[in-house]
Amino acid sequence: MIKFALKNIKSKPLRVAGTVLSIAVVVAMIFCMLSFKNAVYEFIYASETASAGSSDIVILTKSDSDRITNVSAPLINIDGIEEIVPSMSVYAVLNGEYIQIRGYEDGKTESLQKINYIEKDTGNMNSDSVIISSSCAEHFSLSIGDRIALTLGSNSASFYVYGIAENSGYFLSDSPFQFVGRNNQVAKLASGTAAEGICNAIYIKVSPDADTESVMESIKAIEAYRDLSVEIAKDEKYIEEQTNSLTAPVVLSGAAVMALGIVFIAILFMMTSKEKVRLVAKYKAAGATNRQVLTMFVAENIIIAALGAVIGSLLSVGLFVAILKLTLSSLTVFSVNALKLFGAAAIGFIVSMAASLVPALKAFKGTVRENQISTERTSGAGILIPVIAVILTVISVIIEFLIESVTAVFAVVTMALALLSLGICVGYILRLTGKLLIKSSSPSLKYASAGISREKRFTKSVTLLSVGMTVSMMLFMAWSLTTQIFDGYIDNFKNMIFISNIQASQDIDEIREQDLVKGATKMVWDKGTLKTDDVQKNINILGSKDVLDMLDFKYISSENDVKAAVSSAQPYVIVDIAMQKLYGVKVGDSIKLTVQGIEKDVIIGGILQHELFSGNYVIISSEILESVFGIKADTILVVSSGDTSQCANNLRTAFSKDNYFVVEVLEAFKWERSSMDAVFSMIGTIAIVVALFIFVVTVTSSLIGRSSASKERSAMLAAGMSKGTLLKTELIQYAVTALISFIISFAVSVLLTSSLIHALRLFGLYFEFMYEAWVVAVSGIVMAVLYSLVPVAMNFKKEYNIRKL
Amino acid sequence: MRRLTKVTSLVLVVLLLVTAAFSLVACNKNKKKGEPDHRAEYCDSLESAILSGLNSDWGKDMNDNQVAVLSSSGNYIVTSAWVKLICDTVEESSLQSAKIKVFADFLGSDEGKAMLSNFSDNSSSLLDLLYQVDFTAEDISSLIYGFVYKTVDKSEEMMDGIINRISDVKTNNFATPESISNLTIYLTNVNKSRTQFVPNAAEKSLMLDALKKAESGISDIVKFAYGISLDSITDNILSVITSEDGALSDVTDAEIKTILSAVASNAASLKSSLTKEETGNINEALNLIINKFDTTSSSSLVFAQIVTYSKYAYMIVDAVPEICDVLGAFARNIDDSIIGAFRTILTEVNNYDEKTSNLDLMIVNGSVGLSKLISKMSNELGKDGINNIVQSLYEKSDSHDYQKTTPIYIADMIANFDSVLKNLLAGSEDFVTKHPEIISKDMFIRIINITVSLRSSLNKFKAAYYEDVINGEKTFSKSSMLATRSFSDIVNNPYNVAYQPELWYSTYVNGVTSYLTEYSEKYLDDVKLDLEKFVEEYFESGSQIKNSTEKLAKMDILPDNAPLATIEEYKQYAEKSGLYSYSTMLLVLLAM
Repeated sequence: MIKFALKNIKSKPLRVAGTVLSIAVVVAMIFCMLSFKNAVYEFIYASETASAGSSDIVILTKSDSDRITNVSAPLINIDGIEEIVPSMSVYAVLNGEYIQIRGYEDGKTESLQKINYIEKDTGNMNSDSVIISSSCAEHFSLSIGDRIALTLGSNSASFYVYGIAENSGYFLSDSPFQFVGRNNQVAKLASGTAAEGICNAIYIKVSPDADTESVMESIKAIEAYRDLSVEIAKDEKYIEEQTNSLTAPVVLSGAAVMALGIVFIAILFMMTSKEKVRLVAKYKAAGATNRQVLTMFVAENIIIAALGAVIGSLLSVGLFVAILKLTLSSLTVFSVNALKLFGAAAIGFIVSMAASLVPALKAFKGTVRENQISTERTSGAGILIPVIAVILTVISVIIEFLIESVTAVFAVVTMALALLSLGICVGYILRLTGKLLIKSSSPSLKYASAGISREKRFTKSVTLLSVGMTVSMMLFMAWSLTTQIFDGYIDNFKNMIFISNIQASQDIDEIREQDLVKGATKMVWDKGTLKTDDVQKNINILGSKDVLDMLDFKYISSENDVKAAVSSAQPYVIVDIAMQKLYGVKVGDSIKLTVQGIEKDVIIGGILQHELFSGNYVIISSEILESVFGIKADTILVVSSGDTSQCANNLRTAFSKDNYFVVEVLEAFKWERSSMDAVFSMIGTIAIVVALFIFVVTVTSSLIGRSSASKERSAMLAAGMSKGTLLKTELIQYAVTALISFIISFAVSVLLTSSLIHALRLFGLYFEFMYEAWVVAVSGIVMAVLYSLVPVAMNFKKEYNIRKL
Repeated sequence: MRRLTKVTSLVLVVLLLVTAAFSLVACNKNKKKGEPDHRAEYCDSLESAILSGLNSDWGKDMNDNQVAVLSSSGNYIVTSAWVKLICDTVEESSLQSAKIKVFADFLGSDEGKAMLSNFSDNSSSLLDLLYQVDFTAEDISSLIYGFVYKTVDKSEEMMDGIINRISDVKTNNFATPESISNLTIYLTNVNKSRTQFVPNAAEKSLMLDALKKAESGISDIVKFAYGISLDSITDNILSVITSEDGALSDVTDAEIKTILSAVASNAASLKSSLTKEETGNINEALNLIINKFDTTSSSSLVFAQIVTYSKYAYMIVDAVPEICDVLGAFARNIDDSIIGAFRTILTEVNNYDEKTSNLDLMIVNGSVGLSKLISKMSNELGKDGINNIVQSLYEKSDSHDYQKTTPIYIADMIANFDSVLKNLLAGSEDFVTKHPEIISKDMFIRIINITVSLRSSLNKFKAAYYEDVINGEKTFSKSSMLATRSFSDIVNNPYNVAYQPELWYSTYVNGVTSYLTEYSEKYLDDVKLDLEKFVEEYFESGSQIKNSTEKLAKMDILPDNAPLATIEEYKQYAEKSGLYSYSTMLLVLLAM
C-alpha cells in the first residue's frame, strides 16, 4: 500500500506540490500571527531601553533639583550594586538641528549597550571623540575623523567622529540623532569644565541576587540623591501596555487568520473529495480492505502533511524574520519561539491529516457502487445550519450593542459567528445566484451558471475566497485602525511647541511676551499610573488646567463642572471617557494616582473625550501636583499664533542662554513615534503578505478543484465547444464567484470592524467607530479582479489538454 | 516527461525567487566607505605652516639651491629637520587627522603666527600654543611622549642628515657669503650637539626601554598636569560661577560643589594609578632624559621646553600621592557654606574696582572662606595624618638630588609665608620666620634661592648660553650677564668665557648644581622639624591659631556694607590664625 501511496503522489505532482505549498503557507501564516506580538514587544523593548541598556535603576536630575550630580561614596558602598555607569547627556545643536549627545566615563562607553561599529578610527577614543549611527552619518554627511562643532546655549565644543555604528543598541532610538562620547567633554559643553565625574544620569546595574526595590530605597536615602528621581530603568509594564495597544487590532484579526488557515487546509483536501471517494471504490472493487485503503491514505498524506509542515516551518522563520528585519529593524535580535514554531507546524500537520482522511472515511460509509457513481445524499438539515448561524450572529450583535458590560466579550463572539455565517451562507448565495443567472439567454452564461449552481468546487471556492477576502479586509482595517489610533490626534498639536529642560522657577510671562506666542502654560508632562480597585494602568499626565483651553476636548461632564474641579484646591483629576467605558469609573470616584514614584489619592472631577493618547491621559492642575505630590512643572507648552517653526526659532534664540530645549510638538512626537512607525510598517507588510498568502491558497484550492474537472472540460471541447467559449465560461464562473465574495465581504466587513473596535476594549483601548471604506474596497477589489483572471492565466496559450476519454 | 519538466521548472523558479528575497534581506548591510585619508596632506600643511610662521622666507622641502641663498640657511636646515621630526610624530600619533588640519590652519592664521613668534622667543610656552587649538589632555600626552621617544630614537639619523645637508649647501654654487657664514656656525654647533646630544647605542637602548615602561605613567602625569592645571580650574570655575548663560546659568552652590568635587576627585584618582612601580619607572625615564638632554643644546625650543616640563614632573612626581590626599580631603569637605563663601569672594574679585572696592573686606572674607575649609580639612586629616604627609615628603626627598627636595621646601615656604609677609608689609627687612630657632632668616632666604630663584637662573643661563653659541657670540654677553648676576657669589669661575667658553660654562653649571645639592641636603632635617612644629602648634591644646581659625570658620561672609568695627574684629581673628596673609595670596592668584 505504501507503493500505491507513492504512485498516487507521483501521478499528480502539480497537485501534490500545490497542496504542500498551501500547507506550508498556512503554517507560515499561523506562525506569523502567533509570533507577531512577541516580536513587537522585543522591538519596543529594545527601542525603549536603548539608553538604559542593561541597567536596572537610573538616577536622574529633575527640573527642581540640581542639574548635575556625581557618584558619591555612599552610592559605591551600597550592597547589591554590581556596576555604576554615570552619564552626562544634553541636547545640543548641530547645523541648526537638535541632537542628543551622551557621554560616559573612559572604558564605560559599552557598559550598557554594545556598539556594533561599521567603521572606526585607529587608536582609542579620546575625550572629544564621538560615535554616531550610520543614518546620522548619512544625514549630516559625516565621515570618520570629521570635526563637529556642537553648541549648547552660548557654549560650544568640538568633537571628532571616531566611529560610525549600526543602528542598534544606543542608536536604536536615534530620533533625535544620538551621539555617544566621553562625559568630560560633554560636561565641558554643558558647564565649561571638562572634569570627569560630572553627570546628570547615573545608571546602575543590580547584582542578580539583590532586590532592585531595596537597592532603590537605599539610594533614595542618600542625601546627595534625595531631590533626584530614582526609578526603574526599564518599565516593563509600560512596554507591555504599549505593545498591547499597538498589537491589539492585529492580534484580534490574527485569531481569524489562524482559524481561516485551518479551514483552508480542510477545504483544500475536500476539494478532491469526490475523486478520492471514487478511488477508494476502485481499490475496494479490486479487493482492498478498509484497513489497507486507510493505510494507503495515511501513508500518502503523512508524506504531504509532513512536507508541508517542514517547508512551512522553514518558510515561517525565514519569512517572518525577513519581515521583521525589513520593517522593524535589521539589527535587533528577534527570538524565534521554538514552541510556537512547533505549534504552527503541528496544527498544519494535524489538520492536514484529519482533513485528508475524511474522503476515505466517507467512502467507507457507502457501497462500492454508490462511491463509484458519487451519489450525494442531501442533508435535511442543509438550510437549517445557515439560518441558525445567522440568527446566532444577530443575537450576538444585539447583545454586543445593547449590554455595555459584555460588549467586548460579545464582540469577539460576533466576529467568530459573523465569519462562520459568512462561510456557511455564501455558498448558498452563490448557488442561488447561479440559478438566477441560468435564466439568461447567453449560452456561455447559462453553462457557467449551471456549473456554479451544481459543482461543489465553486461553493468551496466562494467560501474560501469570501472568508479569505473578509479576513484580509480585517487585517487592512487593523492596519488602518492602528495607524489612526496613534496618529489621529497628532494634528491637534500642529501649532504647539514644547519647551523642556526648564527650571521650575521660570517666569511664564517671559515666554508669553515673545513674538508669535499666542498662549503658554507651565505644566508637568510625564507618565504616571492610575489605580482603581480593578485595574492599574499607565497613563500620560497633563499637569496643567490650561490644557483644557488649548486642546479641543469634548465635554462629557459639563464644562463648568470640569473647570471648577480642575481649579479647585482639592485633588481632582479629569479623565477620558475611555476610562469610564472600560473600567466603569465615574465622577466622584476616588482613585490612586502615582507620579514620579509618589502615590496619592485623587478624585475624578469630570469626564472628557479626545483621541489624545488613545484616551490614556489625565488632566490635573500644576498647583495640585505641586501642593499634593510635591512635583514642580518641568515643561512649558506654547501655542503659536502664526508660523510655528518661526515661533520655535524665536524662543530658542530668546532663551539660548538658559539651554532650554525648544521643539515643535509634531517634531517631538515624531521622535517618540519613530519606533511606532516601524511597527505600523510591519503590520502593513504582514497584512499584505497574509492577504497574498490567503489569495495564493485560495487560488491553489480553486485550481486543485479545477483540475478534478479537467475531464469535463475535455469532453466539452471534444463535443464541439470552442476554446474561446470555454474560456469565457470559466471567466464568468470565476468572475461571479469573485463578485459575490466581494459584495458579501464588503458588507460583513462593516460589522466586523465595529466588533473589532469593541473587542479592543479587552486590551484596554476604547474608540468610537471608525471605518475606512476605501481601504476595504481596494483590498477586496484587487483580490476579486485577480481571482477573476485566474482562468486567463491558466489558459494563456489557449491550450486545453485533451485527455483521451 | 513534459510534465516533469514543467514541475521542475516551477520548483526552480520558486526556489530562485525565495532565495533572491532572502538574499536581499540578508545581504542588506550598508558598508560605508570612508573618505580617502588626507592625513599626510594635513601634516605637510602643518610643516609648511610652522616653517613659514617662523620665517616668511622659509617653506617646506626647499631644495639646496633655494636654501643656499637664504641668510639663515643653517638655521633653516636645523629647524626644518626638527619640524619634520615633529610632524612625523604627529602623523604617527593617534591624533585625529581633522585636528591636524585645525592645527595647521591655526598656525597659518595671523593669530597662530603671532603665537609661534612668541613661542620662538620664549615668551610663551608650548602648552599655551597647544591649548589654543582645543587639544585634549590625551592629545598632549600622546604627542609629547611620541616626540621624546622619536627624538631619542632618531636623533642620530637626524643630526647626521643635518650635517650632511649643511655640508652640501655650503658647497652649492648659489651659496652667498652670508649664507655660508650662517652654515658654518650651525655646522660647528650641530657637530658639538652630535657628540653631546645624540645618545650612544647603550644609552639609547636604556632610554627607549625606560620610556616604554613609563609610557602609561607619563601619560597620566601629563594629562593630570594639562587638564587640572590651576589656570584651567580657576578659569573654568570662575566662568561657571559668574556666567549668566550656558547650561548651568545661575549655578547653585550644590552644583559648584559637584564640579569642584569632580575636579578634585580626578586628581585623587591619579594616586591609585601611580603605583610605586609606576612612579619608579617614571623617575627612571625622566632622570635619564634630564641627565642626557639638560646639559646639552638640542637646538630645538620644543624639545628644550619638554625637557623643562620633565624637570618639573621629576620634582613633584613622588609627591603626587600626598597632593592627591590633600585634594581628596578638600573634595570631601566642601560644603554649601564654603562654596557660598568662595562664590562671594570670586565674584568680588571679578568685580574688583580700585576706587570702590574695599580690599580689607575682600581679604577678610577670603580668610573666612579659607578658615572654613582648613578647619574641616584639618579635623579630617588630624595631627597624625598631616604629620604622616610631612614624613612622607621627607622620605621621598632624596638628599643627593636637589630636585627631589622641591615639594617639602615649597611646603615650608608656604607655611612660613604668613610670618614673612607680615614683616615685609610692616616695612621691615629683618623679617622673621615662624620658628627662627629652627629656620633662621638666612636659611629661609637660601631655601627660597635654592628652590626657586637659583634653579630658574640656572635654566635661563643654560638656555642663554646655547643661544649665544648658536648665534656665534664671541663674548657670550647674554649668558655672562646672567652668570655674573646670579652665580658670582656662589661659584668661583677661573675660566674666561671668550677663550674657554665650554669650560667656563661647565664650571658654572657644575658649581651651581653642587651648591644646590649641598644646601638641599643641609636644610632637609630642619625643614622637616619646622613643618612638624607648625603642626604641633596648630593642634596643641589651647592653640590660638586653631581657635582663631575655628572661630572664623563659624562666621558668615560679610556684606559690602559691613561696619568697619566688624571688619576689624574679623581681621584680628584672621591675623591670629595666620590666614590673612594666605587670603591675600589667594586673591592675588585669583586676580591673575
